[in-house]
Amino acid sequence: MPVQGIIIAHANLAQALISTVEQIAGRQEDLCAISNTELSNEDLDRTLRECLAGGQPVVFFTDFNAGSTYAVARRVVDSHCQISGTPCCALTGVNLPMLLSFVMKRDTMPFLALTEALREDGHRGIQKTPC
Amino acid sequence: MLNWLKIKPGKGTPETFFYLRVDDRLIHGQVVIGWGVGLDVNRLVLADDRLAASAAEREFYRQIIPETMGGTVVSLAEALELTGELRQPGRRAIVVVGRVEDAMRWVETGQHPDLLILGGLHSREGRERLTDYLYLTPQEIEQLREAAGRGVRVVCRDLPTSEGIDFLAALGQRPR
Repeated sequence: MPVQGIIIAHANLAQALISTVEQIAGRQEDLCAISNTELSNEDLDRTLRECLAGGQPVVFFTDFNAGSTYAVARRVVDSHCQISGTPCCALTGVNLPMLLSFVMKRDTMPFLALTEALREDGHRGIQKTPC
Repeated sequence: MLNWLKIKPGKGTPETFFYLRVDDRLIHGQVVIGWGVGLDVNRLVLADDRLAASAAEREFYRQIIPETMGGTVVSLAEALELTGELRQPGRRAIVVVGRVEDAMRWVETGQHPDLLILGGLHSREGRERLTDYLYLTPQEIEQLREAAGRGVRVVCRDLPTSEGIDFLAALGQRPR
């Protein structure tokens, strides 16, 4: 089964990231956006579990490690995914390089290696000029 | 006298305060960045019986709360016992609880916070809307009326940079 990517972020960031990825890499299947606006943690938890109903491997991309987005995704990974055996993982600090890496590599690598590559590519995408 | 609806980060931030925030997202970006960094909080307490009972949850919140904020996850009973410490001069403390009934424990024991902040209770069946981030059941409204009646300053406010709305005023303004 293809790996599903779910971006969970504040305000309209998730949708904006998908629009940007699609401008660069073309239309994507199995990549969806969830905003936590006006959602309690309980609502967000329920929404994420609904996304897992199909049993597809899932990568949750969250925007902020101190945010409710990661707090909830992490709990879903700990409870649902580890118990059901569905490969899943939550990453924080989603950025464009990380997502482009995902759409380019998700069909080519084993799940665990993919998630490590995403973390590394997200880091590698942050550079600094001398100043 | 401090205008408690207009507290802003930076100049004018009180040097000592104890705020009690009700937020069903508990500790999250608005709390850590908006309030914590914005008001230079040096004690951030998450009071939640279920989370306090889990070593993994305590560790998770320890990791996401900056060390300078003295973050801790404790049960409601433990948080109530901490209140005296949170009142020490120089303490800029916020206690976060997930439910109005949890916040009422401070009201019922007479340990009134400087502000009871309604920071985020989201829509669900049986709740009515007061603001974009605040939905309450009739029972919660009555509990908060009671708190205000006992002299607790109850304010609807998601961030310190946004304008606070007095809870009783917000109740008066809701559509009938």
